[in-house]
Amino acid sequence: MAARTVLVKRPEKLTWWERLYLPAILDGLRLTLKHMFGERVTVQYPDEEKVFPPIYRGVHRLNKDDLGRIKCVACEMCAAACPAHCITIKAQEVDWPDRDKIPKIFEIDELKCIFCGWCIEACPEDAIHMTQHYRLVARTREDMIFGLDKLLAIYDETKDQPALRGVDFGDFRTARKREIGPDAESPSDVQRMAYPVVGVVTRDKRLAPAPTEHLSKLEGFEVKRHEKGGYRLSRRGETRER
Amino acid sequence: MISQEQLIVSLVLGLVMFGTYLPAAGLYTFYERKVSAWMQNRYGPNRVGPKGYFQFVADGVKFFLKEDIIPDYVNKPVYLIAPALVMVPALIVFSAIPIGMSFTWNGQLVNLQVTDLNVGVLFLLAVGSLGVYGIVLGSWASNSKYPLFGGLRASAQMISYELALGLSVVTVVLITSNSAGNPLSLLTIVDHQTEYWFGIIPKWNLFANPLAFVIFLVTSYAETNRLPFDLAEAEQELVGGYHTEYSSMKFAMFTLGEYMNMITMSMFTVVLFLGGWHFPGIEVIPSQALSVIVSIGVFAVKVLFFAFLFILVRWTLPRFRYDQLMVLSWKVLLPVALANTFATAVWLVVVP
Repeated sequence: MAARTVLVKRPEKLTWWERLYLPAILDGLRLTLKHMFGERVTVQYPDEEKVFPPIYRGVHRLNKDDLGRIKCVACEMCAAACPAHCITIKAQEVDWPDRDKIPKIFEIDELKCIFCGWCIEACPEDAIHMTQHYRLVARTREDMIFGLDKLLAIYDETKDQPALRGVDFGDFRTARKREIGPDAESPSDVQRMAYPVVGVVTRDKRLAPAPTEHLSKLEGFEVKRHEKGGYRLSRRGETRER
Repeated sequence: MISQEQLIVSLVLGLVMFGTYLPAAGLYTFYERKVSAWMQNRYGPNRVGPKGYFQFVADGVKFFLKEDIIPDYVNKPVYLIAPALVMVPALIVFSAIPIGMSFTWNGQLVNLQVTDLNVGVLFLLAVGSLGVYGIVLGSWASNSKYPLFGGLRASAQMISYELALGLSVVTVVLITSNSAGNPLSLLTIVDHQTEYWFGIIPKWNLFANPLAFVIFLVTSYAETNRLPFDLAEAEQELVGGYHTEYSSMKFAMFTLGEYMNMITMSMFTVVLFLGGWHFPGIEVIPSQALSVIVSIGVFAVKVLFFAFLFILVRWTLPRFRYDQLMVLSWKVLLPVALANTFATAVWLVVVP
């Protein structure tokens, strides 16, 4: 096989003015100065708190029904689903008209819990939720094992607040249904679709390789020149649903 | 013979500055933390006292209360004296700097300066570079690897940058040599800069020779071991460099010394290149007392600006690699400074 010569266009040499570096330094100083008067991003924690999304997975609560009774029927589905084995349930019989048993002991070891939310997914009765409370403090390990008293008390405190619910996930998931794009043809395509900025920003914008040939394979996408240089891959029209 | 009035002013000034330099350095650390935070879109310390202004007091108290560890393997006398060697020169250097307009009191001309040394510039350079002894001795006496690296870097850096710094100062002295007084005295240097070209542009050396100013500014960052030239400290590589083995108040003395050096260097820059206390139009103020106060204010504002610039540059430029540092000094700054000095000298001879 004959040797193939590939011409690579190197960036041109810096001009005399650029080699002084002082203009670039001044530019940098200007940028730093601009940030001085920019927005402050720190959350002043004890004074103000972050607003969490509705699916935030904080400490659990055990729900009560309309009559103020515990909703849990001690089916142990959550304990079975729990990957950390942090839920302990002992049932007791009751002769209520709507169910045969309720938990006698319901303990969640909040130190073992990995806050994955599977117990909420597993619960058939919508009896366990995850609240937005995240400040879990105790002096001993035993105090961090939350029993019925604490879990029900948390419900009383948080019943009006948003919580991660199992049966209906609220509007959050339906509102942001995942957009499904075209199939990827190679790993690099996957990367591009995940982070759809392509092309290289060079000093001379003409040097940026026009990526249209490669990306024309991606159905439903179009390549647009971005105002800040380089190219950007964007979806064309509506998204398909599968 | 020094007049009685000058003696009183010098003593008061000396005592006041001696008393305020340490808190000023402390405040400067607070100022830096705050401004750094703003530059990174944060709030900075805002819990201790109103708006966090007492943070530096808390820092100081913390340093005093920390356990003072002296490792077994250090060279004790040198180890103990090193922090003082960093701090003391920074304090001494102030004595030659005029902070305001000279005025008449009881018929005597009084300078707002602790002492008008006839070799003020040399004194500043000499004592200012003594600070590096503290760093080198401290790092050597620590008998530990990281400090040693820091000390070696500091000494090499100082030697390299002192040359360009000195040459740019020589340029200023050359420019001043046209005037009547002693060109090595800082008072004369400031007085020379209070004149005007075409009656409007002040004869600040910044405008007379911008190149020397740039070189001086760059080298002053190297002299004070500040970013982008903080190779001696380089937390990421050297765990703090020369003060790795120091703790408690001795560490604080290194830090305070560094900040004092920065203040002094800002004053030095202002005096040499920005006309000290001078500001266009300061002559028209009718009252002497008022103009003296205004002159001190102008000087303070200029110094604060350069103190701010130290921080601004710190958060803008990354640290130089060691070889880049050397290349910049020996291959760029030194030749340019030499050529600049030569050109200035020729200009002063040729142009009347």
